Amino acid sequence: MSETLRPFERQINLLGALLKARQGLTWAEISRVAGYNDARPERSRQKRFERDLHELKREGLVVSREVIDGARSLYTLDRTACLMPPLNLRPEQRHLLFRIGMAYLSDHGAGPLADHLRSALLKVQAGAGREGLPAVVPPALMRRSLQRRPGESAHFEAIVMAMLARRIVRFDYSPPRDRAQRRTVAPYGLVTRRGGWYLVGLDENRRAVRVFRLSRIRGEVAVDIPGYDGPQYEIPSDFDEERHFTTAPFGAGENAFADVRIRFDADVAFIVRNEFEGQYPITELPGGAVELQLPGAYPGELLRYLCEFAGHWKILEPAQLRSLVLKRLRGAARAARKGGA
Amino acid sequence: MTRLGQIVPLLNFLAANQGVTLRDTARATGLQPQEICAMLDALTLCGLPPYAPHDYIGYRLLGRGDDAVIDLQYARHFARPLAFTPEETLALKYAMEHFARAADETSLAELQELAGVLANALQGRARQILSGRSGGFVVPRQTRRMRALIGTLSEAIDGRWVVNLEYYSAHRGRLGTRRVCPFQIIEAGAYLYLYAWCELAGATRHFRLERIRAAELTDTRHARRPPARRQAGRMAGIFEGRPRDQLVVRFSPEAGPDVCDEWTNNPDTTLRMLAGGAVELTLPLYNPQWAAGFVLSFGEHARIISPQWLRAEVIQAARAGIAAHR
Repeated sequence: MSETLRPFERQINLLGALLKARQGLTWAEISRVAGYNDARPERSRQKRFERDLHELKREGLVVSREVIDGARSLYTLDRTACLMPPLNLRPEQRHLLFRIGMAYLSDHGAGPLADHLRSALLKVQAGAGREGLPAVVPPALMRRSLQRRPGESAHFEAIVMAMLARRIVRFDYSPPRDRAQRRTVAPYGLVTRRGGWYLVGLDENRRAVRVFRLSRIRGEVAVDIPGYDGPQYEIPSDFDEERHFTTAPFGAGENAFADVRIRFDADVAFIVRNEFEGQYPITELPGGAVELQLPGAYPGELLRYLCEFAGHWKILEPAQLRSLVLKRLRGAARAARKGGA
Repeated sequence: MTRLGQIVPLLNFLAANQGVTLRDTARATGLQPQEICAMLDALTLCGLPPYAPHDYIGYRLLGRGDDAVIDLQYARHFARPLAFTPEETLALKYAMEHFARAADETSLAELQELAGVLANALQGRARQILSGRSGGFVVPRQTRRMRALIGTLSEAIDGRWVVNLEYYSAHRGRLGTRRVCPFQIIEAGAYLYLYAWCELAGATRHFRLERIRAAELTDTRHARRPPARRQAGRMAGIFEGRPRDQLVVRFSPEAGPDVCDEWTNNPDTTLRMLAGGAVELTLPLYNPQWAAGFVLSFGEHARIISPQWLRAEVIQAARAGIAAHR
């Protein structure tokens, strides 16, 4: 029967035996556990055990091997390292964690994080007893999502998996007005602005932090050393993604317009306050209008926002941006008059 | 994630919570009851020497349906959960950090305290990961006003309160009032929406959160339930009903790459590559105001192929924009 056991069944048996044996297990004891107690040669069964032990270690288990009596090996689970310490969370803190989990786990909002997030929450709940659950669980108040543009999702998924496992990735990248280049990157974080994801990571060839727009990655994102499954890098503990790539809504790079001032009329002033109050200076103007000051903005990204309520705003500064916007508006009117077909 | 990694936390939960119902287990795990039973069924050959009947992990369902109590047998040694793996710690950290960016003030304070408690309790690599500064997924932080609004709406959803909204409608281009039964706050793409039953529309609607000027809880509770199925997908998830028309826009080679970045693989959307790098985008048209703004923002780089009637809307919007600059 043992030979027909599936690997995860053997591994559960092995884990159960290690958990139960507080003093450790010798091979003689392990060889009685289903999965290792069949009629195959001992060496073959030991190899099977070594493979399974490796799998348990990949799940985070720390198993020490000690030689006793000069010849026998004793395998012991490090209970301090392997078992969850008491978390001492208050019921409302567990509820909050539960709500966060549900916010991401419903409707696939957690994307590639889902399995790990679900098992983490389960471990938190396992230590909580039934009072860890709300008596009546309402549907998630918020449904949060890491998903952005569908065109990016395959790259997003591959990068997130690599980031979780701390694996270096390789991909072909097409910068604007340039040919695709192969890049090798240690993913440090993902930053989103107005709907698209950007990878911030250590470019291994340039030995510097670089930013990559996911939608400009061509082909597949591959892990750097297929078959090697250990972590390949660490993120510096003081690393801050936003120092390298701004989440400012309309961008603030070297080609962006600086010191942008926009007047919004009273009809839409509250929208501007909702989105930007406390983050950028907003000045009250007579009649309920407001003036928004942005440190920087790319015209394309700014216009995508402003054109949702055309006629309710005026670019005050800089004059070059105002001219460009007026040119765009006139161009749009001309293109619309011509139509297509 | 490995099968082992999926099943062991479930075993931990059930071993530590004897007497838990199938329904509560589903709540805690986010799994369907039948998935839970399938995972437990997969353990029938697992056990420990000497393999007497009471050495095999087993389970019984006491009662019927989802209210049945799960009686997990011979698995007490799994009662203490295993420590977080690095991936689990990261998933938890990333979810908490991402959630915090749009959490109301109360939740934000609780979250900060929670992160501290977790970091203190955990050891080794898990503690190191939780204490690191990197957020993993960084999204713009919502303003205090938006977070206060999220707090108010969360209270309304939790308490099933009917809410009066003052809302700027993109359809109408002006402020109006709506009486709604809120179901959920939903993040889709770059925006947050309130998903609610709208009495004016007589149907569910999605309200962009930043366009809500005021939300006032009434003293009336509602008993409405959200429709059993919401369509998934970017467009279908947000706009209800039948599309008003089909929008076809042709973009110049300059605008083409950005359009491809944004619209590739969107449901119900097609992109056609034309000679010289131009691109033609076809998608269902639900909201003329949005469509006019979208086309307008590309200036001379976008031409409407159809519907012809939208051209007048774009011209009108462009004129309004130019007039505002006089």
